[in-house]
Amino acid sequence: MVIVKKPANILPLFLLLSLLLGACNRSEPTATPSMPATTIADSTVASSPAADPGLLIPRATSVGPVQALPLLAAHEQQMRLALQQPIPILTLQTGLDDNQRKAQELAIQDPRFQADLHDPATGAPLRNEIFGIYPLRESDVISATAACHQNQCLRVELYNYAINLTTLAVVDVTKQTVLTVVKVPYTQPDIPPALTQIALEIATNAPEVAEALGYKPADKDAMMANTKTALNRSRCERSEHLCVAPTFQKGEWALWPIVDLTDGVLVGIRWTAVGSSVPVTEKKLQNDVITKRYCETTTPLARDGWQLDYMLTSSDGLRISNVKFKDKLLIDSAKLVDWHVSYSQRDGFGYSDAVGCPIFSQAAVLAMEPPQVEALQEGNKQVGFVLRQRFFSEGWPNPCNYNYEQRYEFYTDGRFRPVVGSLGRGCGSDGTYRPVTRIAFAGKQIFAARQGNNWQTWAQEGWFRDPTTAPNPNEPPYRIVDAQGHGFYMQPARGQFADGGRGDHAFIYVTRRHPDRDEGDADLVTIGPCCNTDYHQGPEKFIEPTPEALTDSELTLWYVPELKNDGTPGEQYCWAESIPNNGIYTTKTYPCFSGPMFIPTEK
Amino acid sequence: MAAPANKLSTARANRTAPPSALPRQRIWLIGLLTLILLLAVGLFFWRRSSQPSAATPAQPTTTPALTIHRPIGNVNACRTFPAFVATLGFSRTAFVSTDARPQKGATLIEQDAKGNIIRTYQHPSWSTAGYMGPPVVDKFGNIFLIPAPWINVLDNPTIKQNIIYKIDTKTGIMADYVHLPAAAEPSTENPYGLLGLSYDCDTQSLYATSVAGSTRNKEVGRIFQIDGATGKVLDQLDNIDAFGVMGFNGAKGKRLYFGMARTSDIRSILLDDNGHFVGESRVEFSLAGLGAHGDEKGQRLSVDTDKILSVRSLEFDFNLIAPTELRRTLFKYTYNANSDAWSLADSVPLQ
Repeated sequence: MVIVKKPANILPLFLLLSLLLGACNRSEPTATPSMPATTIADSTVASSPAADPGLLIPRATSVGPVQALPLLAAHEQQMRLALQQPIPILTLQTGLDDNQRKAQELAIQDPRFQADLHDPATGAPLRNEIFGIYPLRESDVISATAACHQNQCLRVELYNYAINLTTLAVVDVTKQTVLTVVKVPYTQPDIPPALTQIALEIATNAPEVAEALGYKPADKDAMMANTKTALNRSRCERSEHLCVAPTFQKGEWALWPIVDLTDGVLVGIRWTAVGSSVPVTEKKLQNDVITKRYCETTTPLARDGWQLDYMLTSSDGLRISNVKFKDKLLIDSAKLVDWHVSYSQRDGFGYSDAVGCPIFSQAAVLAMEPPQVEALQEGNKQVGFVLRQRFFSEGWPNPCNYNYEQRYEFYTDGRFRPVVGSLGRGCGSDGTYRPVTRIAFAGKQIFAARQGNNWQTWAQEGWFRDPTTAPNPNEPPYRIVDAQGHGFYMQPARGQFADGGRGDHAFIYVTRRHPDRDEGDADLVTIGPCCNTDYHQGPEKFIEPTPEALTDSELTLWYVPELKNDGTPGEQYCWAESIPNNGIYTTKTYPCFSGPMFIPTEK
Repeated sequence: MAAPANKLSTARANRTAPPSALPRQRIWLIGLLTLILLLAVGLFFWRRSSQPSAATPAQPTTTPALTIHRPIGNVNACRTFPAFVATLGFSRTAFVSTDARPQKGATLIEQDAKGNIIRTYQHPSWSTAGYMGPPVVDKFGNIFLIPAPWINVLDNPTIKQNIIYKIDTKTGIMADYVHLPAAAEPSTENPYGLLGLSYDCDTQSLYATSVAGSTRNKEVGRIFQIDGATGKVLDQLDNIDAFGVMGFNGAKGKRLYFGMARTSDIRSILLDDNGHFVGESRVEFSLAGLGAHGDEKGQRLSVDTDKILSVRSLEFDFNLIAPTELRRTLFKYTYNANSDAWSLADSVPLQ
């Protein structure tokens, strides 16, 4: 009896203790008011379909031929004509009363209003458009416009697409004089109805929008029930273009297509919960898509006999791993560890840049576009494919902004070339770039340098500098092979790859991999300073002070080219320039590509 | 804790009660149902307690003292000139700067009337902690500094990003002042630790914001109140990633204002007479949609003698973009004592 009754007697105590423990835990005394531990606050990723980060659409493949978008085509034609005028301003022509016409005419004749209509260096006309002419509100009147208390005044709003500038003129129509002209950088006025229609035309004709909605929308479908407007505020804060977001509601969700009215293209699309107060912008869309798809996830790729995985890292660029050719594992991983940039005219001046994910990373130059897989051409012949990633600064190509390209070239014949290049522009024309690439080969390897007809095997860790002499394509100077002699010859770049490269003059390091010690397999913090001109670029840390034997071990190869930039007209290298083109600025690049070619030892 | 103790007494008393006259099966059934019910209730409270919510603020153990009424205005006017500067022969126009990049650490700079630098000085200890944020000076002329990674972490390793340094007003030597505890180990996702620092003359407290240990998916930063004399942590807010920080004596009491590091909000929290945090923070205003990017964060906050609040914004996404690439905006806010609120008066792009 005692045994049977015992649980019944203990139960209430146990139950009460359970309750007490919960209550005690809850009322645990603390002197520190606490905010909730949260993930990134974002109502747009709360649940499906908004859990999807969205879709970035390459600008080169927008919505099809311009002819299919008559409003956009007509506007571009009007703009072309405006650019040919002495005062290159596309004026408002419809829906204006006499006073508005008068105000517009007075404003565009004012020298202050005309101050930014042309490129200051070349005199080329820039795209300017009057967006609106509005009565001046009483609350807008300042001392300089005090006359507007008595007279009729209008505000004329001009937008400069090229430099993302709003110019505001207050015109006293009664006295027929321009009272004030104010410039507001990095801002856009409310767009006119004609541009709203163009934005709708671009969005409603975009196949990506139709696919997301499940039907091809009409203009009237772009209406947020809560805002009673077809357009949501958006921004293209990185490209500094004029962007808006016609928004389509579907149940509890709203689809935001971001339309770039400067380029006349769709930037991307994103679902949000209806009523979300967080606008979808170019930067947010880019960061979310890249982070979710490429920083948090490994992507497998199989093509042309190659298999590999790729992923964006925090600070080591685009990393490839498990690289196989015809099912044979060749490379465990390859990545771009650092960019060292030094400027010769200022001692010790430069930067050591890491490249990588756009948010929550140790990168100084960011991935703002997704990785691209493209066909690799030699002449008209497709010889493989390229996995390409660009990292750039928002202000590029302005001075002290950078654009780095990382390419992995995979050839159908088994060749492989990890390429890195600078697209300028940097802080001066006296810059030298020294990017650090790390390649971890799979399996035990032997590294050797050619000496005449023989191969000199490296017995221990070390470094050397590849000469600048002309290469002999039939006699690659280095090889890295397994015990059976299978592997790669290595042909450093000495200007022979027809990619504009002028030669790497590279520091090449070979180190031993350790299964029990991480020497760069995981994400590496910056390993070298900006401005060393000798072999002290970082990898030597894994060699000195006592080089280890390389026998019977897996190897890591580090490749550090030296790329001197040049801004001299006609000689540009590692360089970029902004040039006016059809009223806006486009970038002309002069890349300096580097990287060795790995050629399979077996044909 | 008093109530649970009473309940425990009751439970103990029940153990001595006579057996129930109810049939044993019914007792078991009732007991089982009660068990399920109470376990569910216990689990509910336990889960709530392990996931603190903004809607359920943690309660301080004692009633905060909110008795001192101070004049409306800034709280750092007591700062004095560091004594060591005079011994170095610099004039009182000299100032300590951490902006002379690529010069690491702090530098004493003296300028002429036209703003030209006429001489500089850097004690060897001033560059030992890598690049640093703006200096904060206390009423004795001590200078407090926090590390600030610049472009990379070569000179600012992540494990040293939660240390406040102090340049002693008498000796002019910089040394570690306090190592602040992080909620989690640093990771490659976040190179930052301390982001903001300010001094409150009234309570002789330092306030420091830190995002050390935070990751993309976890906000575990802290705001510390630190004794300006001893370096002891007096109070802290948890699970909050904040940036610039500033104290202000408002019409309804002393508050600590801070920019959020993940959003564009500027928030504030009430401080008691001793400068301890009281209750929950509130949103004062937001920089969202303003400035060059529309998502800039409040990096530096200060109030001048005219009670104009300056907020210098910065594009900040927990990466190491070079400052030369960033566009900033200086926002000016005016204070309305009646509503204890701020209104945007002006904004100026900073290049």
